Amino acid sequence: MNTEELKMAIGDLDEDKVQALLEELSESGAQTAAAALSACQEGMEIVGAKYESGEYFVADLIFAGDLMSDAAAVIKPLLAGEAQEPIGKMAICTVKGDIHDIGKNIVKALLEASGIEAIDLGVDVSPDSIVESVKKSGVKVLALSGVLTLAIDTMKQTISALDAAGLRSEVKVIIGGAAVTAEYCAYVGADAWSLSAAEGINICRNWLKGV
Amino acid sequence: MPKLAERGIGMDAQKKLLERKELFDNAIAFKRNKRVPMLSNFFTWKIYDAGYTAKEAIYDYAVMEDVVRQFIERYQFDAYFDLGTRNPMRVTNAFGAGRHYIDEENDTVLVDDHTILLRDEYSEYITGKNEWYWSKGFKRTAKPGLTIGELKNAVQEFLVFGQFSEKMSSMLSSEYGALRTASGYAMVPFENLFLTLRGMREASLDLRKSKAEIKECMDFMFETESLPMLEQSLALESNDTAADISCAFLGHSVLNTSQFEEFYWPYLKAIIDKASAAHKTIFIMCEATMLRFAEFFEDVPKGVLFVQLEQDDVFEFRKRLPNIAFTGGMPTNLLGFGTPEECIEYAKRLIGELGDGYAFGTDKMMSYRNDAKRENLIAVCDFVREYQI
Repeated sequence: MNTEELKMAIGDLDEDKVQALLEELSESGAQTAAAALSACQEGMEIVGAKYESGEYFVADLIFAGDLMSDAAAVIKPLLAGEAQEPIGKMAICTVKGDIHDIGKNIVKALLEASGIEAIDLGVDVSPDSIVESVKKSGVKVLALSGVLTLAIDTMKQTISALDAAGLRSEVKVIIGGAAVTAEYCAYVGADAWSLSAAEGINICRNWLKGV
Repeated sequence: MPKLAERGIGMDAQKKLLERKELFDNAIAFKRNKRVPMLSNFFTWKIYDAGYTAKEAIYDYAVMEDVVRQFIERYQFDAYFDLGTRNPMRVTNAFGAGRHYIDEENDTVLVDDHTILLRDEYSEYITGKNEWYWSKGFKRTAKPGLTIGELKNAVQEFLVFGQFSEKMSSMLSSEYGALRTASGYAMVPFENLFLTLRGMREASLDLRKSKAEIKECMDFMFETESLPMLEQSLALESNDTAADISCAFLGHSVLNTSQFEEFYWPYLKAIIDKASAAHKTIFIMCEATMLRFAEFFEDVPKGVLFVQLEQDDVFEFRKRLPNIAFTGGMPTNLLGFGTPEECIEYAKRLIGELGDGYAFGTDKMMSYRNDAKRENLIAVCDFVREYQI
């Protein structure tokens, strides 16, 4: 299987070609599967770049998320111990009072595609639950999503709860979703904000790499 | 539509209606006004402001009337997008069609993304829409096991809602001399797929998975649904509305530029062209951003479109599309978290820099408690109403 072709097919969101290439993969060994997974991740970076340039938009990211999940479902069983070490792990959720999950799911798919283990806490997640999950998982990066302006207050409460639990200094927090702005970022006390999935992922990746 | 006096509207309300209509006519046509008109894009916020919960108001029309009256009397906008009639949940819940629901803990109205037309049913919809609705669409929309008694109840709720809606419209014009946004309606087919039939996620996937089918279906919908609706709307008079025809602009929020050019713009352009030829105006309720597609709107004649902007930079919008009148721009974060003085300063900037072709409004639909503080909204509305351009 040609991994370069697979990378480009993912980047071009060419579902037929991706499926055809992955069918060839089932007859290959674990090493090829690992290379295929890397190719898919590189392909998703192309998707992110095309989103940043304005060529792709939300519908494309939804499609890309599904395409990547389908590809991963084929590749991962073939890895047999050849799995890559993730860059790091982080948690992501839509905060209490908000049930929008499409944006959160897009970001999660792109995080995973970029080699980050993303623990999905779900939607409508309370500050207390988030703090518990952060404690339990030991993540140092937390992404809070919200489309409703109501979510802004919950994001603020979540950061206060992290503070009260003595975790705030250890955990970087990024907020995203249609409701967020620079002013709201300052108001809730987050470390960063973004309306762009690709930009948000770069920020998280840099945090996890200690950049 | 009968003339204002024939509809029992008193002289005082008639005078206000005519003044307000002129303000919007001028704004849409970029003619100088003595002050900018004000358009309310407030939804559930007004319920909380009046001291009720969403559940109390949405399920009790007497409470909702009180909510709307309080809102009109307290803030005195010139035109209103919602009169407590958006998302009639008593009707949809009775039928079982409601994808909207109230989160009582947070006191908010939420909606689920949903699908009632499956991906492999596009051709079935085209060849036998009624049969598809009765055999499949209806079943997927109604509550499971809907009885005849429940169906009758749902129809009764629909009739009661119609009376309430009519009462609120009549109250607005005859008692307060204020305007609704539009009298007619136009629908781009992708909106029907995005909002009703396929949902946001599935419609997004179809753009790549079922490109030919979705295009064929939209052509069919445009010919058989959108155009007849538009023709009826163009025939209506609009003496108590800010614009003539209302058009939702929501589904564009997921499209890239190529998709917009192929799946959306041809239909919207046809609607704009027909309205323009009939000397009618279109109120476009735009969610998310629109400037990404500015190039498509460059040649729209001045005086046709009046857009409710949400996330676009309104100052940039004016520079990029000086042919399109709009409302919006007042930041929710200022109304919700700023001071009255800060709000007034920003409103002054909006009016000063945007002036002709602008109607004062908020940068989003106001739906949550923290979207605005009462004192901020009163201050800014009082200021805008008195501020001479």
